[in-house]
Amino acid sequence: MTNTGGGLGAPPRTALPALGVAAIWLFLLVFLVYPLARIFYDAVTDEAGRLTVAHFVEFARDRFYQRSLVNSLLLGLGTVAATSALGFAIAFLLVRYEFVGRNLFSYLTLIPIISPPLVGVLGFTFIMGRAGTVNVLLMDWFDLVRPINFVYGVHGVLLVETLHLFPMITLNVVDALAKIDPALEEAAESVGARGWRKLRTITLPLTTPGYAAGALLVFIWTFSDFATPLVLGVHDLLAAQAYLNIVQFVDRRLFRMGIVISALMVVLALGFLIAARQYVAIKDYSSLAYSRVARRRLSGLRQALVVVFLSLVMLASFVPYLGVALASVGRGWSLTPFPVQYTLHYFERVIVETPKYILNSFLYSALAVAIGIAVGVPIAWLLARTRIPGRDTLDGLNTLILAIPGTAIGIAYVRAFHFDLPGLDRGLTSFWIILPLVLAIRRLPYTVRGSYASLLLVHRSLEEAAASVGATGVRSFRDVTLPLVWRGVLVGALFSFMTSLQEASAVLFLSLGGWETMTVGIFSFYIAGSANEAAALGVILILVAALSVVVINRVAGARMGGMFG
Amino acid sequence: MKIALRDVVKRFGAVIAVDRATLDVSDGELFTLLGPSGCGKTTLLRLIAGFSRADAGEIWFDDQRVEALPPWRRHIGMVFQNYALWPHMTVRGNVTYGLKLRKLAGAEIERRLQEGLRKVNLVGLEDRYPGQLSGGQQQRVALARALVLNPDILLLDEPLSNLDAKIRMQVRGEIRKLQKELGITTIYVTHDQEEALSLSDRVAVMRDGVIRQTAPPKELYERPATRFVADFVGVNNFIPGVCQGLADGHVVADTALGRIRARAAAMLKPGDRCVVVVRPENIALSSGSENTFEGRVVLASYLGNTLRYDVETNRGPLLKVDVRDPWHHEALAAGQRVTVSFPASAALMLVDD
Amino acid sequence: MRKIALTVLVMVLVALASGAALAQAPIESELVLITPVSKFIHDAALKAFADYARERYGVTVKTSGLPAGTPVAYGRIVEWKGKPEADIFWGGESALFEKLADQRLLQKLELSRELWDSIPPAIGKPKPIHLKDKDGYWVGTALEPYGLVYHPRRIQRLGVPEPKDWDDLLNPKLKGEVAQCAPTRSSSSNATYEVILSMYGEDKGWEWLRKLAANTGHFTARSRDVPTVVAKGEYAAGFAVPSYMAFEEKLAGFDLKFVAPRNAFVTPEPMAILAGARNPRAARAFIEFLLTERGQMVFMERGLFPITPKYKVQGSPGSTAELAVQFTGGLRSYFDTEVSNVYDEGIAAKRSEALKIRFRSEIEAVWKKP
Repeated sequence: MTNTGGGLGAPPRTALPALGVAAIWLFLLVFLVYPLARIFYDAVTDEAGRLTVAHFVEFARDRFYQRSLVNSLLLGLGTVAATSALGFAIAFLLVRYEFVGRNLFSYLTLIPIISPPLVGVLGFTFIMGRAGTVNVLLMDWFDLVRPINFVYGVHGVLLVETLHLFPMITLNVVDALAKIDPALEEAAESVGARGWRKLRTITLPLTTPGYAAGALLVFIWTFSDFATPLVLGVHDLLAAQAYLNIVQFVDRRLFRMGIVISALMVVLALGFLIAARQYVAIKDYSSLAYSRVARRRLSGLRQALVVVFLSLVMLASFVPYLGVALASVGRGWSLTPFPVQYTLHYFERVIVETPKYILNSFLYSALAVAIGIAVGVPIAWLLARTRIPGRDTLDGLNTLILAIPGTAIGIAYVRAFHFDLPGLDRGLTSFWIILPLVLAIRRLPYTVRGSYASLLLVHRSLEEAAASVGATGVRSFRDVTLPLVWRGVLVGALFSFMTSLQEASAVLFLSLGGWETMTVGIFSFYIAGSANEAAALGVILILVAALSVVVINRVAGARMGGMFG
Repeated sequence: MKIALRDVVKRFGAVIAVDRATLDVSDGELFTLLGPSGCGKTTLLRLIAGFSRADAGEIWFDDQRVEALPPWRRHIGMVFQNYALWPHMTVRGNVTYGLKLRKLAGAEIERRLQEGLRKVNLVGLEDRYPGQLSGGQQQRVALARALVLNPDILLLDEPLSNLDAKIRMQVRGEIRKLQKELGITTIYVTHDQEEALSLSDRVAVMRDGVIRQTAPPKELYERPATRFVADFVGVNNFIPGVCQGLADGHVVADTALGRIRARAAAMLKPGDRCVVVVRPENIALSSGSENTFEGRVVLASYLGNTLRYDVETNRGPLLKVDVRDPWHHEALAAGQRVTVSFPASAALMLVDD
Repeated sequence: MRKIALTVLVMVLVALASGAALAQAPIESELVLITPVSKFIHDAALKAFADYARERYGVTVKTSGLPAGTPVAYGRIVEWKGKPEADIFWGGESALFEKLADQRLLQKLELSRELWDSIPPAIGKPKPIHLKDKDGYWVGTALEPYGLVYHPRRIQRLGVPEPKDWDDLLNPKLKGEVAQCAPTRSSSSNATYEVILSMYGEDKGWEWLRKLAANTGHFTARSRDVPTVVAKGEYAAGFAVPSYMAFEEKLAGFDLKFVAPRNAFVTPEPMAILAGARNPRAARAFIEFLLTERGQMVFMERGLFPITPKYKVQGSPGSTAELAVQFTGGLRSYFDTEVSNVYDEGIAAKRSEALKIRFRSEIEAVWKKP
């Protein structure tokens, strides 16, 4: 996002209504900067509001927290390493080789990423758990007394996160690979580099900018995910501790520690974000253009190997979906490979009896997208077309959002908007509009990026041509720019919509009775012990998300990678 | 090192990119493949480099057949059109990469780096990244990278096309000088006829995958074999007609301009369709002993070292006529009647392809 | 068009939920609970109440529950500072209710004399379990023990006898097969830890709990997960599980057994109306309803026991009520038997902070997955 597009150095040609810019800044200040500032304030003050570093001292001295910090970093790095290995291998196969089912696989690669929070890992335990299908079969076949522990523990978290997140690497690397000028690799061949050597010294370094963006997202996602470790019985991680401590309202000390940990997570995530951006900024060689690559056709045997490999990966990453699907229709499923009784009762319950989950999800997500477009498209325009003061800060804030753990922003909102609004005897937290607002902020980067990328492709001279025949700024935007960028805006919006439906962590703390979304429903059903209903909601969510992916692909032409950059 | 191609064919699907190309490049020669974009010249270069495999035919480097060899076994150095410098490596990294792959000692690598950079006048820029260099400098890094490995053959794919006109002239001269000093067999791909004529030992003109003519620059310029080649090397007057046969050591054709006497540059029989080509600088604004025509000036364009008239002949066809040294020439006004003529020795009669 | 209509409808409904509209009727048309009592129970209770309210008052009450663990629920009520987003707090330890009453965050129930008197003040020996607040701020709604659950087929496969008492969980063959929730996160776990400490004394008690931790394969994030992971067969046995949660799994079709060992903690599932509640009349009507036979039936059919000697768990053969009796070991009412209880509210309240700290340092910080 460092490219400044066609308008380099030129002052904004049309006098922007200063009011609009001010409104955008106000929105970001109120709904992003202020809540974040609030949790930092909370982290360095005590109950009486006095400044103190005692919380951080306590954190640093506590052996359990120390372990949690180390574990979180190791888990994050481990997941990055594992997703990178898998993601790179798959991206490479998809971009460079021609084999049976390549197109199908490139579609399927997107699917693991739409697994909603919590249900994914639940689905995993249904198949791979101690009493999951695999263990049941092993016990039946080999008379095993003690089941094999595939998932409970850090190794399970690593497995689940890897199979969930590797597409982020694949998407980014596919994008980066497609942009490498083939001559760069031929030049290497001409001086004698080939095979692994060429891959390691030329190809991989050239994909690093795109890759770094994907790796950062994988890291932050894993780093801030609390649902997966908690289901798998892993509590000594920062995100899990932040969550568990924050839901612990009674013990004010623990509650405060939860906020401190959240603040710390924001700082760490920010650190990684800045490091990644620095790294990418000095190493940005990518062009906007995609090169035409001649795919190498593989021999029969190799093709078979590739297809088997990809099928196995896909199979493994589809395990959660299988588990969720079975759990959503299976009654009393225990110690049998598959459920023995089937029922549609759970679907009936979540669709007919409590349609609020679905209705709320759609309403809030749609509103969030609307807010996102209202704020995000102008931001994208400011970034792509103007040099107004504060432009870099705007860009930075927008990227920053990607790095903030959802839990942190959720708790930040709880803390920041609890005060009574003037003229009302309730705070913003008492009105459901806070949910679309937090979703809009969380998903703003997608809309901005989608629109920004399209704006860059619309050369400024097109707008100037419109101006030369007498169109004013607003009019040329409407008649010339918008028709050319709507596709990018739409892709960003759809992507925001899909991911808003999937958002749990930020919404969880803010949701009140009657406001529950599908993800909150999944959590509350799960917490209430009704994993089946949670699974049924999960299936609905997965179907909606899958549909969105298909639409996005139709509109965007399978270039989803940019969204994650 | 000599290079020989025998009936080399390359197809992309239904398109024949290179059609039975046969050529010989002798040791130390600078050989140019010239043609418009899409003519197959780059494809042919890539076949020689080994980046793609020919569908048929033989490629010989001296007395070794190389079709089956990968690029890194062919001892070639290649400079790519956009230089293909690795953006994540410094100049040093780019130039020494191939040396490191060959596991040379550090001191040797450094020595060859300095030698290579000296050849291309880049000493002192070792630690710059490609993004910090000008186009001309990048081009020279690419050249140095290709040369430090002491290749047997240097392959240059439109190496000057991304440079602006002034630098292009300068680098062109340097390349020519360097190539002669090193005596390295070089194949040079370009679409620019001026470039091709000015630095090549020999030039092969390609069109639609077929080599139309292979000749030294002077011959190519003065005796193009076909209308296409003539057009490509900068002839402006084409007068189509029908061949009438020999007369007094010249061929005679009936054209829209009238009867023209010309040199025969191809095997033509009476009755064949042909085209007579004449360079504007070979047409005089006066009557001559042969090929004299009446007309009037319709346009005069001042080109600095020449003045070009468009003369509409009485019979219709337009002729471009160049007057050298316009300082000593009184410009004619548009509409003025003139007589133009050219000697039969300056006109070529070609097959009209 | 329909989409828009639907959206408007939803917006109106949500607006209603946030209290934008008030009904002029004998009771308000809305009721919100905040409760650790699981959905299985609170949904059923709310649904039964909605039917009752329609018949009795002719009011359609829109009910909803905010599920929250006891500590969370308590914390949110404190955060609301007398302007609550819910009307009723239900479930958890009665001590918390007294803390809330002290902070003036509850209002007096003011139930009819007859209803109030139908509930005995306490049961249990040697320590009493209070069933209602002497100052009238809270009232018990149903009784239920926190016991053990196990998966009979897993237990059998491991070659372990079916657990009957607490000590059976320490069987070495159950290493890694026990699931429990940390007492820092679960009031049922906290209460049962307290029972163990009261039974064995402080030092031996902690030794016992450390041994239990050594056999524990999974500390769940929430107490409700304990019966879930055992029902599924992921773990063979679970510690400190409310009877109705286990019964819920049984009704869901799982093969799960429950046992309430000696001195198992029995909770009255207290209920109170929050000070500043937006729907106080509906809240009172709800509590009154729960104490009627019809209300108590909701509990009796779901593995809980009546709060008053007036009723016993009874149903036609094969009914869920009879299934519940069978599931909980034949008991029909806590007023039929001597209830043995060692849990002392005073000691528990004093020890609660120390218990959490000690758990964190002696168990959580050193626990390794077996």
